[in-house]
Amino acid sequence: MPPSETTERVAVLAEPTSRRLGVAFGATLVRDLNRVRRRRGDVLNPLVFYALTVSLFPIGISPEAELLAVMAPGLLWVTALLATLLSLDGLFRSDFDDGSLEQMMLSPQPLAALSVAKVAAHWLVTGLPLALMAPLLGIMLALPFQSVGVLMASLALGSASLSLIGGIGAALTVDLPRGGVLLSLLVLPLYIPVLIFGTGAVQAAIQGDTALPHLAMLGALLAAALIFAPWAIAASLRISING
Amino acid sequence: MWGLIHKLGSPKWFYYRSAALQPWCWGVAAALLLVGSVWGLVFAPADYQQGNSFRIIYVHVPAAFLAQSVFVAMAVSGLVFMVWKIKIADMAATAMAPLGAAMTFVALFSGAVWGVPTWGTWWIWDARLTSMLILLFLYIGVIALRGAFSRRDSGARAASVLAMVGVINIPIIKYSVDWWYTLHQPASFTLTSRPAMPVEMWLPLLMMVVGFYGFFIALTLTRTRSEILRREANTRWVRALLEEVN
Amino acid sequence: MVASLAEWVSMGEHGVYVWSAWGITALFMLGLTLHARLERRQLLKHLKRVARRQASPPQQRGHDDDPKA
Repeated sequence: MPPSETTERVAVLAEPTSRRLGVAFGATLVRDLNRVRRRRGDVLNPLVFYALTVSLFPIGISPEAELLAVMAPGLLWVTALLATLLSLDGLFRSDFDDGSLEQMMLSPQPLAALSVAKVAAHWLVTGLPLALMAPLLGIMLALPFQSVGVLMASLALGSASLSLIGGIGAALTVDLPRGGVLLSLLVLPLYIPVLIFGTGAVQAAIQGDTALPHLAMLGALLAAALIFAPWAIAASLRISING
Repeated sequence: MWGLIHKLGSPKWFYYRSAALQPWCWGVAAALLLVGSVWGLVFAPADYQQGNSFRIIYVHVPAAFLAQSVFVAMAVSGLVFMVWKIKIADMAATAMAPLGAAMTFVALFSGAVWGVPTWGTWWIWDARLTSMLILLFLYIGVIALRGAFSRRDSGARAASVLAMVGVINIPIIKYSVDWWYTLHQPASFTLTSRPAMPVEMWLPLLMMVVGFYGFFIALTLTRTRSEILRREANTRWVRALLEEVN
Repeated sequence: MVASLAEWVSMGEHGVYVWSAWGITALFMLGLTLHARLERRQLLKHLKRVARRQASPPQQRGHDDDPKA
């Protein structure tokens, strides 16, 4: 990473508190999005993983459309969950390595708010593309057409919670040499409620029921994650940085 | 009040005070477990539906209670450690984590074994068994995270944060798994509409539950005391203590 | 109540399940208790050894601590 950007970012954060929280939040978000533009692999890898893994299931189980249609909601959701997990390790890693996280911690803005900005950037480059790509894979799995909209909505809503919860695990393991496996052990059990309501929404849509209650539960989970996760992420980052 | 908390937070004070308490805890726990076991295995009548296989309840239910309580206790210890920097709390959390994981495994195993005569299969994705399984993973995560840090203090704080995150999640997981299960329930059996247990069945169960909790307290005391010695090995009072033991 | 020992052990065909569940529970609880005892004993032994080593004068420790040896 060129040093100019880091110094520019530090300059924003070091300014007096007259500059509001919003500026710091926006700057963090834009910076993370910019970095992704330069390293496209970070966005593409989870998507390729998603497509590849989903296409393994018909090969491994059966190409029969009826069977696939039954399993499609679960397959699409579980695989999206794993794809998110794959991308989590990089959430704080480079900022930890180049010291930007320490600068964030020293800034007058609360670390919790800045980490939400980073998580939001993560969701924009992984969760949202996964949700946009899901219909394509849904068609390949013979997912009934009427549930495609619900599939996208549930994935978009649910992956935001996944990014927030995963952020806790990523923050806890960022200082560990081989944190990847541990990260999945920490995060996957916490993902289960999101998985249940996400697949529930799609299954309800397939059966012709209203998916609204499930989506509302996903929204409630997101609200709860938004309340608790930022503090947990900030506390975890402090532990990892202060050693 | 604050004086007491400060004293409790002092490893030395705790070490000397718990010395007198510890044998009593072990004694009460052993007595309750012994009487409860004999009562439950020999004297309690067989269930009219399940026959003798219901006697598994005397280990399954206390283990399941303990599995959940220990996690809550771990999270509370984590909170106390993070907020007031009381090291004893973290030592206790370290000491009780393996017990919690073991009890979760025991509850899972006895539940699975109980399933064979009751449901005719070793494993069923029953709501309670499923959330127990997730709890086991949460325990393993906390223990593994603590072990992954090379600095003890970082590991302690990371494990505390994870225990707190976990304890907020446990009711959510429980609720969602229950909901998921009712959606997919194979409506072949229900354990919900059972008649109330007679006294000679639930009294031994109560004794076993209290006995398991007594065991938890006794084991945690003993292991916390060991942990105190390990971490305070370089202090003057521990050295003096070692001289005495010599 | 039970009539005979054999009948009690067999638990009316459910013996295997009851005994295996109880057995695993007992195994874990005994194991944890013994582990706690062993842990404490070994810790005390270790700490005493360390204390003795630190108390003894450095020349007795000999070349153990000599980085060049």
